[in-house]
Amino acid sequence: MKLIKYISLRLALLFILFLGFNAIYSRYIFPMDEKTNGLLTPKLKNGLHSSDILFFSASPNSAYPPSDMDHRSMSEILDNLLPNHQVTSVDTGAIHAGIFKLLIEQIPKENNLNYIIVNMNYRSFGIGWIESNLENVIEKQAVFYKNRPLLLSRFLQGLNAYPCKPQNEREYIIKQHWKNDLLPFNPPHQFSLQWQESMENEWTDTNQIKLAQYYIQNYAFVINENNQRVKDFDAIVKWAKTHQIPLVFNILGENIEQSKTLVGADLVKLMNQNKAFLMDRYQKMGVIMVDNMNQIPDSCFYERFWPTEHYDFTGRSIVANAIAKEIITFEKNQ
Amino acid sequence: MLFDSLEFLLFLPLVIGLYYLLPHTWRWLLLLIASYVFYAAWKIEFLGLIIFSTLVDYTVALQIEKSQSKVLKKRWLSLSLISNFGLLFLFKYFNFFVGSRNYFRDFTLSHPTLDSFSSIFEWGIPVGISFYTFQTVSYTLDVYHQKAKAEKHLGKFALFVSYFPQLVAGPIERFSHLQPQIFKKHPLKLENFQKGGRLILYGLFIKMVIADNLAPLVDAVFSNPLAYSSSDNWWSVLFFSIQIYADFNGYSLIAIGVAQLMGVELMDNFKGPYYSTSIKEFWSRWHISLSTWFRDYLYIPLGGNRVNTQRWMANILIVFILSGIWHGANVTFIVWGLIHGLTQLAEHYIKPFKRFQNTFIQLIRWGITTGIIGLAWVFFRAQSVAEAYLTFNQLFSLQANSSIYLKLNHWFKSYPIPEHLIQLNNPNIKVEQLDISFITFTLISLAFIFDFWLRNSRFDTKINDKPFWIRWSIYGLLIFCIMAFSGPDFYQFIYFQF
Repeated sequence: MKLIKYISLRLALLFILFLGFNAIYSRYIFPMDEKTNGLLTPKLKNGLHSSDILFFSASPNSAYPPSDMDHRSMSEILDNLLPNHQVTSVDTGAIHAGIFKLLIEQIPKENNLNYIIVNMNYRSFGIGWIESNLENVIEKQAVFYKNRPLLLSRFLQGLNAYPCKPQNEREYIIKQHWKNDLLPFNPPHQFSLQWQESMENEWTDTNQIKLAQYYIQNYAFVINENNQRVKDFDAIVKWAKTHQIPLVFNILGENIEQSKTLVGADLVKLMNQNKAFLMDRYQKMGVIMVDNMNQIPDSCFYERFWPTEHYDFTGRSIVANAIAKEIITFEKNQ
Repeated sequence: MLFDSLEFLLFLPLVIGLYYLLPHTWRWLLLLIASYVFYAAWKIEFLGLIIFSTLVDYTVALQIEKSQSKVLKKRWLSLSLISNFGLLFLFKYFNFFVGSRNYFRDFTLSHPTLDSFSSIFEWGIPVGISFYTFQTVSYTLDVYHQKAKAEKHLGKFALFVSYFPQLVAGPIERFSHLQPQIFKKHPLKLENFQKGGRLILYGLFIKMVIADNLAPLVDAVFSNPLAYSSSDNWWSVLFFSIQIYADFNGYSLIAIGVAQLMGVELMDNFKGPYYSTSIKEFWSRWHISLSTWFRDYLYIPLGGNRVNTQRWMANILIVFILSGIWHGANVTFIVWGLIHGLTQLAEHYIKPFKRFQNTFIQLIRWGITTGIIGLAWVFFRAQSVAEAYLTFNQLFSLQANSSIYLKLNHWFKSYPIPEHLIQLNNPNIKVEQLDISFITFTLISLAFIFDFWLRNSRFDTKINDKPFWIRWSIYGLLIFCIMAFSGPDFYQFIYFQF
């Protein structure tokens, strides 16, 4: 009994300390952590305050080449194209639907949103992105995107209570998937790794071989309902349905021309099969789908040494126009 | 499962709660299951290795005890040593001695049926393999030398091998010290909770707040020493010296604290090592459980200091080189061990220093010792001798020579050369600046204050005689630092790889 009393008193003291510490942390230290972590919560709050459309994206929204005269992002172009709406982006580099989901879940019940737009990046469905080395950092930031006392979130960050793995473990997982995940083709295109190795016979220039292998690594996989990103997008749909906010998924354009030249028609076929799966799945769920997969010409991609969705102004405009068109059509049909 | 993880913070109260709820007879079984769960949470496949070691050493020890002939006893002992060190060699040193991993990949390409076998080696080094191997080997040797009696109960022996508080990072315990304590009936005692809780708290503070905040700073400079100025390289050496101490000492204190919660007193692993005034003294204060292991099972059997001078010198060097290799399969660890060994020999012959004991001389000795230890850490931390060469050049503002660098890289089978390192002394190389925040600086200062305060005693005893409000102010400070300032990045405990 004495021991129980002793422990209970101390637990109570710890609880009081926690409350005080949480207040100190939230007031004085969290603003610094918010900056160093590059958290998106200020952007989200700002968007909720000033706009009726939130545009969730990774870097493709605002990345531009030095040669661009017009630096407007996709969301800014879209904002100009939809005069009756205010569009604000919630974006930062390398994030994906797993993070968009957490951010969207932060949106309060009472809001002025008319649409939520989410960029759907094809590459983010691949194992190379799912197990990317950047994932530890992204998930570390995401610890703060949950509704709980800030000090507790910070403590969980310190405990690494987020999905984190050593780099070699991630590399091992990626390699195993490339080695074992069956693709719908005959050898040598049956497995990603096999396909990558076959590029050594297709090209003589090592840079070309490397680039072709990057394309296979990033684009050659089969998307099904067990894919982590699909689960993330499903959760976003579920949330939007509950909150009755129209949802737009924008499938970003990939460099189809390069894919075909470097690797061949099989890769493009696979990409389009995957896209068809996504279009069909989310259209059935009532999402407004925007298909830009094949719409961006090679000349709009300014990164030439690896596949990205970073476009010049023309490319960004194509995407923004396609989204605007779908929203206008949707509103006409209402 | 790491001590500084959420899983462990949930696992520990559950195990401790069940431990005191269960009757004494069943506690060993609970601890054995908990220990296996603790280890399997990391990689279940490697649990097989612990079970294998357990079965081998259990059988061997019984057979040694049963055997009448000395030859037979020796054979059984050899079997234990070969199987334990064989596994250690296979999982930790195979690639180092045989060649790069590519050797194995090439081999499996021509022998595809062995692919799954070779892939085992790509899982990485089994966590704590060096620790539990040394612990089980010490048991067999103790039984062989009749210093301990063989354990008849397989389950209880399995618990000695896998006892979770010290399974993955020590302290490396002796059977005669640990076994009676684990199986003793421990009543629920407030004192154990106080002591254990305090050690866990302080251990978490120095591990999570100090070591984990220094890790990214150290990594940045060591991964590309040429991109940082000489002073930043000096900072990184100082920070690594603090990081490795905070990391390992913190983890050891948590281990000791966790065992203390169950009434078990593990041996101390650190006693203010950076206050040493000689390398010899340093090794009596640093990773004590390992240095005493080497003393008892290698140095003394080799003859210790009861041999002629040349032999004694050889004994010292053998112990330090093997101690270096224990840490990892890399020439850098051998060089690190060699530096410590040679310095200890040098200390022995520098008599004039020994005669004077005044504060000034002591201070000089402390400075020299700390300097040597710090510079030796460069080899410990660098990925290769070639990288250490770059760091030393930067430290002393010298021009690194590309051909020496490439030769070192070639001789010591280093990792593939990072592209940015090939262009040595390229004037266009981007110079980075180490970003030491005010908070990091304050936390390090706080750690210094604590370490100085605790230089001759442990946190749990030092704080015991303080009034309630002082104790709780310190607890509050530590708790706040742990919650608000822990290193947020994912860094595994350094000694995890050993």
